[in-house]
Amino acid sequence: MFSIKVKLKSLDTELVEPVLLVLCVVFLSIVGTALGVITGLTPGIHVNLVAASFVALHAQLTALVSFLVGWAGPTSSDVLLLICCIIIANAVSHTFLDYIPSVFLGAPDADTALSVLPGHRMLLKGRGYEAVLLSAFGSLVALFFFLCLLFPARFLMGSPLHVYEKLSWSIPFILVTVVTMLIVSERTRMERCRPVLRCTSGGILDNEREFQRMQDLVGGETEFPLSDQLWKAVVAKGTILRRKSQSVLLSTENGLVRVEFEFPCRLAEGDKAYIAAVVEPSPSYRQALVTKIWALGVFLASGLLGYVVLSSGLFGINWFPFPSLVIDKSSVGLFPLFTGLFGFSTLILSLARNTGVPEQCVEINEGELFRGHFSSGLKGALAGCFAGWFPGISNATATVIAKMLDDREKKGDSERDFIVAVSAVNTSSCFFTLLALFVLLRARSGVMNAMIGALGDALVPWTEIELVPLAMTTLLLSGVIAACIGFILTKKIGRRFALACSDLDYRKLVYSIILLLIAMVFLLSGLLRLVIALLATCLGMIPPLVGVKRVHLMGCLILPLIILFVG
Amino acid sequence: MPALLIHVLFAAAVQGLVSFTLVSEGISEFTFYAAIVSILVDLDHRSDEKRSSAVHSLFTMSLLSAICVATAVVAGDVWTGFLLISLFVGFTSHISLDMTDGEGIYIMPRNREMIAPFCRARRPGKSRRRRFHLILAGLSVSVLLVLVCI
Repeated sequence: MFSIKVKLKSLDTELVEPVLLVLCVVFLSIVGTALGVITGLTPGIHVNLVAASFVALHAQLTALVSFLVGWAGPTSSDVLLLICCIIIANAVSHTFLDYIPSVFLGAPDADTALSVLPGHRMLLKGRGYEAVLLSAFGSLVALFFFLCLLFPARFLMGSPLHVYEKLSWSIPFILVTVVTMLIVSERTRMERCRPVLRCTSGGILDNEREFQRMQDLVGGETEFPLSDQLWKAVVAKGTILRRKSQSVLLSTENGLVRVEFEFPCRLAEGDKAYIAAVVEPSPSYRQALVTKIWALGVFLASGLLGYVVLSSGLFGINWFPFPSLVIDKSSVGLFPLFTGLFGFSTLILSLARNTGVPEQCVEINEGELFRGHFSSGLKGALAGCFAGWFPGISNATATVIAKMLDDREKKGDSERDFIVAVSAVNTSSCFFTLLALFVLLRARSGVMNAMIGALGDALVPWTEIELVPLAMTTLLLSGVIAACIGFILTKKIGRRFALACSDLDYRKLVYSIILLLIAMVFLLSGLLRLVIALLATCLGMIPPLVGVKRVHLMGCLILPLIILFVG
Repeated sequence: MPALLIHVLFAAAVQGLVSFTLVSEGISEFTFYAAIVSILVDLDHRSDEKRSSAVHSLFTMSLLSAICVATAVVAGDVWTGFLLISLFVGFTSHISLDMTDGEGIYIMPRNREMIAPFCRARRPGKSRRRRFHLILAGLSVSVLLVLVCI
């Protein structure tokens, strides 16, 4: 057989034949993907935790890989590279699969925390499978984005431009800007706003006859309360009680209504008025300010909680029932925090609303579903790229940035776009951390840290743009294989979950999930973290109750990071 | 109202341009200060029948900008000067961007008279009070320009 010997710069070691190497990579990528399916579907297991366990079990893993691919005759450096293939395949497939427990069980991790509510909302509308499909699509878009931007990103971040080196100082400023944007852009929820009639030019009708004609057009008399008629066209007649330059208080047969004009109003107090207008929510100045103050309060409180949890001082007084289960203490520390903030709180509130899981729709035209969401995936992938390159920008922060890039909230398609963006952020971040590893030789995640440990001296930097390191090509191949298999498996497993969950009693399901999560927090994170999970649950219930977005709870990661950078 | 992100990017771009012109440094911490100020201006965006926005007005813009520039001149310290310039850039970039969209900005705070050159529905009628407000706002802008020249 024709064979080519490839030499690594640093190791100067002969590798196996390329064909055999590719076969080994494919085989071990499948093994890694299978592991990723298990870890992705198990609530509370973060991909960094799995990577840390790979490092801990390095000797056993080396023996296992040598045994599995012994037929190809790999050298010791090949085995190390193949272990990394398992790690990257596991990480990539994990980003595809971890959305399933988020949607069906409401059990998030740090990466999927923000998507719990949209996913859960879709589940309660019978569209849980749709949410899973969208997340798989988002991850696939991220892969496409990464492959397209592989060389431009290398050019931008590495030599000759070195954008990373030039901008790394600005991370705390970026975080503060993002947080300020989040808080200021918080809007008062519609149900908390007082409805007003918004009258555009031509909305003041001349006489009773015209009023009758318009009433026939809009379908009869205006029904009260107006809060049930939001965004509908209505007609109203009455006497003007009070008048400001662009608004009047109209006294109708059914009560007082405020009418706001889009033009200078010429009506006087005491006039009889016939109005055709649209019912719109209009928060008062005070309400809008109070909403923003609540958002700031939630951000600061969650930030304080996050700071306490992430400070190492707590580990000393914690008690673990099975210490041998805990491998990476810093990684499991976030599990109770996110389970409390986003998991328990969502589940308890959904119990209080006494909702059940309706029958899930699994017959979906995928082409039609994905149409129109590609751009959201791209925006998520772009934000994920950011998270992959810059230390301190977590996937959740990147999701927030992606949400700001996508301003479609008014079009009613925000849930779907958000889910696509969240998945794209996670997958894109995973791939870009791999690129950062080879361009900057720096680990941007626990997985890449494990990879540095496993590769050791075989880690060759990508210095010249036309010479892609063999290790990177191999790991990329492994990642792409894992992504393709992960996409198919996510669809299949998500469908099964969707079919199974509608047959279950929702209350019993929620109770059992809560018990399962409590048990996992207790076993993996210890007694003290369970108390923190309870605290986080209380905090996590505040945003929906006061009418602000849950995204402010990400303060639990962002605030400690800002403190870390500023400090 | 343009999206908040557009305000941020616009303010950052203008501040970048200013910094580059003054000290040949495109992106600095002041870029972010300008961006943050441009966000904070929207804290006072909402207006209801009881009160209109105090900040989204030509008068407040020129007044605050004049204060910023005057303080920068008086301070004499380079860092403080740059900080105040970034506040000025963040604020004025926001207001100028708001003026170009359909909603427009107010001439005076706590008053309903508006400047909305690109909005037909709100094209204001003639009134004595409006003329007075426009003269006042114009005067304050002139004072600002004189201060900038100094």
